[in-house]
Amino acid sequence: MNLDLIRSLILIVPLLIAAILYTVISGGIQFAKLPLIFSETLGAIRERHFGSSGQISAYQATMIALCGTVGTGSIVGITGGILLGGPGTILWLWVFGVLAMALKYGEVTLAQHLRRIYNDGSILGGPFLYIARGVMPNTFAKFLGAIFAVLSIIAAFAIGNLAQISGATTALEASFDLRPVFTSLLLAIVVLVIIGGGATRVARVAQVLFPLMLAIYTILVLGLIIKNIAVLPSALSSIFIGAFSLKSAVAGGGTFAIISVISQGFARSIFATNAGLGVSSIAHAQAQVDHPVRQGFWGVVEVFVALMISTLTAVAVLTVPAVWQGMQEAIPAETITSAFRSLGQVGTTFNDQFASLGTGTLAVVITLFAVATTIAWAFYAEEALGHLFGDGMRWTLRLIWVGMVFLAPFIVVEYTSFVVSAEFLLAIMSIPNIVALFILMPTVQNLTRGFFRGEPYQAPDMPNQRTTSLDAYDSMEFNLE
Amino acid sequence: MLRGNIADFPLVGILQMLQRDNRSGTIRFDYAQGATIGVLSGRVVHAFYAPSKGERALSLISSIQTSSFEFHADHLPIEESIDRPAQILMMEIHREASEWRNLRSRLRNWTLAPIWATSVPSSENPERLEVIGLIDGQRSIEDILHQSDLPPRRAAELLIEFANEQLIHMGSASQITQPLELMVLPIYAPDETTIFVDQTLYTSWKTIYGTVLATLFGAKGERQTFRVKGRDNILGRVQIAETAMRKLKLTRGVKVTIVPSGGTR
Repeated sequence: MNLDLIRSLILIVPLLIAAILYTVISGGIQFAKLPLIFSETLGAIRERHFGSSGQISAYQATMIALCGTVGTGSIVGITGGILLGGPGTILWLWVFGVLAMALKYGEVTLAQHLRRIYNDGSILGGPFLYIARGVMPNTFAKFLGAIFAVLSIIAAFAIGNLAQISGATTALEASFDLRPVFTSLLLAIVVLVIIGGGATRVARVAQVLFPLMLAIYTILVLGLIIKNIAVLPSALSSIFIGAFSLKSAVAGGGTFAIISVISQGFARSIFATNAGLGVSSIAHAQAQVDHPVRQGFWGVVEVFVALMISTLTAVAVLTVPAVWQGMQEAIPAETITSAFRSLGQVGTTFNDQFASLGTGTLAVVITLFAVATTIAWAFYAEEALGHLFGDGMRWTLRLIWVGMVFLAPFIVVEYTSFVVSAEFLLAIMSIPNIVALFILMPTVQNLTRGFFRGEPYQAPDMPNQRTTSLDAYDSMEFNLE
Repeated sequence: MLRGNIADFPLVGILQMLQRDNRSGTIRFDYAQGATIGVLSGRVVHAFYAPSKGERALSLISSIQTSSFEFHADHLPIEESIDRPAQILMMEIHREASEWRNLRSRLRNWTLAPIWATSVPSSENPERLEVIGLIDGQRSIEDILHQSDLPPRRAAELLIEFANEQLIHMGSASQITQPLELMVLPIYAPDETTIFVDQTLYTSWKTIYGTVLATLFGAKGERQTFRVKGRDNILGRVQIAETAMRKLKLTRGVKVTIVPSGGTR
């Protein structure tokens, strides 16, 4: 049985079912409440202060989550999806993405609801906790939560560190002839300074970094699309035609081809939005909100933004058909670079200045994406480690993390096998999360119903809020000898 | 060594543990001007809460909601001011702590000096007369609790009673009742007649007014009076039903002026 099929069976099918069910139980929240969601989120960005439990604002938490979600995968990953599945992949990416908004809403709401608030105001939350505390308060649930935490630490090192930094240093070397040893050292120092400041510093950096890189990338992509505006209608139509074509870009034909395109689109959507994988809810759990559902709205926005970036990438690549057509064997990173190099091409002549401007800016954007992703995943890994072993190991992890950032360019990885392995790892990691999402569906339904009835939010009993139980001995130094 | 925080571990639990192990020594609380409990062979024999001692001090110590404490086995009690059977005393401390929890939420700042809102009332109730005699605008709540002949908890109950009857302001009551600006946060409730403010603010208003109403002024002069209730986690905010917001032409995140008042609705 190949990894692609395993991925489909254990990841795509259950997540698709979960996404449909969450859409139903939330009353189609991503459709019915869309204007409300935008006014509650993007419409309220200026409201920085919210005097409630939580370390960072809802906006900052979402920016951390977006830093982790929208990595180089939204640029290189989407390009890879087009190379493997053709333009039709994008339509299925949208289909799953729209459904996944409800799934992400559920994940974020659960992470907020079942988070743990400590006496010093710090917060721990995420799938490992809602699995351990919400699924069933028994040993098996705690074991599942721990498994998720362990896998997310491994995934963080592989996907959030190694792949990102390696991609960034390669891009910087190709565009500016910068030696990886220097760039990785510089990146390691930058990352250490950011993650060394904990959740609040990561949040402060993320709230500036993500909008900045989003703006630069959007300008760059729009530049490419406008330059090839004549091709835009055919590029867009290829998305719809390709989605149902029996002669798809992938090997084979007929029904199998369509299923492969759908599968590719759904897979790209999962990895572009992280919906169903659970990790980004670790950031959302930190937010200051009066009700978990309010942060759940930000989950919907997170998927929306990720889909927008993926779509921009896809349209930009598709407007340069000479680059992607007939390149199924090509490397996605090279394909997207070639697409942006074409910025320098006017008619049959080639302006190297424009070409290097396009690829140079892309290299900078890829580096920004890489730094953003790596600080977000470092935070996820820290929180997962905190769940497993408490706070004492945070600095150990930070130093190992930075060491890996420095070494990343020197660890030779074969791209295709790495992507397959990484996605396989994410698929395995998602299993405990999917189990929890199915079991905790009524909780999300009740929270949603309560919120829209204006009922006060009741946080579940927290084991850390000790009052009379013998658990209080944990916080005492006790030795009567 | 035994130390921790009273917020995490109830006083009764600490005393029971010392009683079970037949320990002698002094528990010191890092609170106000100092509070201690002396234990001899597991039995509580002394309590001091400056300047009170004995059972009055023990009652005041059981009102403490959060304070670090440390048990010093090498410091034996310097005097014996309490002489009650251990089990009865434990039950009493448990009851006191439980009652105080509610009272402290309504009487938070003991440094405030209650002042009469109107003229000094008359009363035939000797307990009320006792506390009325101590309210002079100079004595703080803590002073009154120490100086009253009534048990401290009873004196605290009467102070709250007076506040509910709007006979007194709790020191800075004038500040509490002043109009204040809160940021609007929509809720999607069908009830348009109730707004929600932070629980702490609500509790201080409730202490003064009993039933709390508030008039809310919109940006363009619109006004409406609502019933007020408290909710957690909305410090600096006022939750208003979305439909009521539309009527007042309010949008999320704007600041509105709120004037609290008492009454029925």
